[in-house]
Amino acid sequence: MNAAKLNDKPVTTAAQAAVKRSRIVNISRVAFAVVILGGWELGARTELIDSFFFGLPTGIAKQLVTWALEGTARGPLWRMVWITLEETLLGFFIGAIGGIVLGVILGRNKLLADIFGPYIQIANSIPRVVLGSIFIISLGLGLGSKVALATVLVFFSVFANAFQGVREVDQNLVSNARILGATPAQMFREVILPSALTWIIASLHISFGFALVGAVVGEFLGSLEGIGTLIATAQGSFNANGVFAAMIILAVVALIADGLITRLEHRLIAWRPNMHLDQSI
Amino acid sequence: MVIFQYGVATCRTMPISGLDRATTGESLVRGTTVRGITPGVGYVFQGDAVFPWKTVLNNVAAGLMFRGTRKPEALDRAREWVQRVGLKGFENYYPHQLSGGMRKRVALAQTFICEPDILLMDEPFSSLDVHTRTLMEEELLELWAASKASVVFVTHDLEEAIALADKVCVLTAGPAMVKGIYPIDIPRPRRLTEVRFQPRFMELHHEIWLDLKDEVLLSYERSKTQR
Repeated sequence: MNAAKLNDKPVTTAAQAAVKRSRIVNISRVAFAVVILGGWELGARTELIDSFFFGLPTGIAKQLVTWALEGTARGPLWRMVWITLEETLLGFFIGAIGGIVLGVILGRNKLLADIFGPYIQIANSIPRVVLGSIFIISLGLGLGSKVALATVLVFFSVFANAFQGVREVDQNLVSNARILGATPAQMFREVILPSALTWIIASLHISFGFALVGAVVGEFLGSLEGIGTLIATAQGSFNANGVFAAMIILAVVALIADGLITRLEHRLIAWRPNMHLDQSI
Repeated sequence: MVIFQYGVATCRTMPISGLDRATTGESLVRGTTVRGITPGVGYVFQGDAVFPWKTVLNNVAAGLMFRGTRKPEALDRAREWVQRVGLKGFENYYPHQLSGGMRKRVALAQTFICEPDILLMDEPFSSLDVHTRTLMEEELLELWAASKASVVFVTHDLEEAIALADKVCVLTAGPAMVKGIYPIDIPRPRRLTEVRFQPRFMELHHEIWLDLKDEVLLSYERSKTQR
């Protein structure tokens, strides 16, 4: 009994310390937000910051409420969000699947990699957002041009990672699998693909952001609906609060998507050490 | 049989396994030239070569499954082997959750389950600490005694070579040629924790060391001039 008590003691104090620490972290986080937003609001009210150009937090909140309740100049808010989300998701999936397939093929095939290598490097160094204009010209103001731009942005990021991932497979593991009798198909399925998956999933995190950028920039360049259109409209009427409000909506969408991808990651690469540590940093 | 070598390790054993071609000449296993992976060969690597995305059980079963054994049967036999290398209870752990010595046990089980008749070991225990190493050597002797595979064991550690081997073969310091072959007449079964203190062990150690010393010094001199 006594021994158990003695053993329990340091454990509870360690747990208490952890609770205390997380409390400090949470309080400080809220305090930080209050200081920044409060400072902004106060600055705007006392005219230290010009709220015409930089907006003010309560104005942004009001704008969000108005959009949600009364709809935007272009239609109901949920529809704007859905349009942008649709473009983003389509671009994300098409680009990611294309990037994975081509990246794996070129990563496995030295000849093809040598032939296409320089072109991919060239394509990679072009600021691809500019392609948005081409897509608007060729595909019009509708969904297609935004999906195309998002696809292109996602494709290159995923492609580069899938390509590298396939090539970075630990040669020890490849040798071991060969000795153990793996056929080429088994080698691909059991060794190369799982190994490359770490790289591919890492790129999916960033690529969703790219897909969102592609969709929004596409809308920006020319469209009738979507969050990008809201930003363009707000910009046209010098409505800084509107721009910020649209930004917040985009941030929420991006955060939710990132959470979903993280869950996928946990499921697909559960074997990786220190997953949780990596996430918290 | 166990070979001891000084110098570049992997280029000697790779051609036997069929992972790599011989630089010059050809390698013969059972009288036939090696082309592709030699059947019946097992290979324990120097570094970690267990699959990090497979659990202990699936790692051990990998060889059988690659060779077409049905999954339930492969897993049953893998369970047996996991137990034999002393990892019972760790079947569903991933390699990163194990210590270096435990991962080596997984590698041993992974190799022995395929019942190789030639087992190549390329400094398999060099990354382990001294105590774990002795334990693993002892483990290896036990597994080997049950399987009777021919083992080609590459090491830079003369004591390890004498303790484990039937024959120690000293190679020259690049280009690696056979310098001398020493039969080890210490009776089996050997207790690795004690064998090092037997007078015969010391004699052999002294005798082989005289031969080996020049090669060690030579490769040391070379490494100095290279820098």
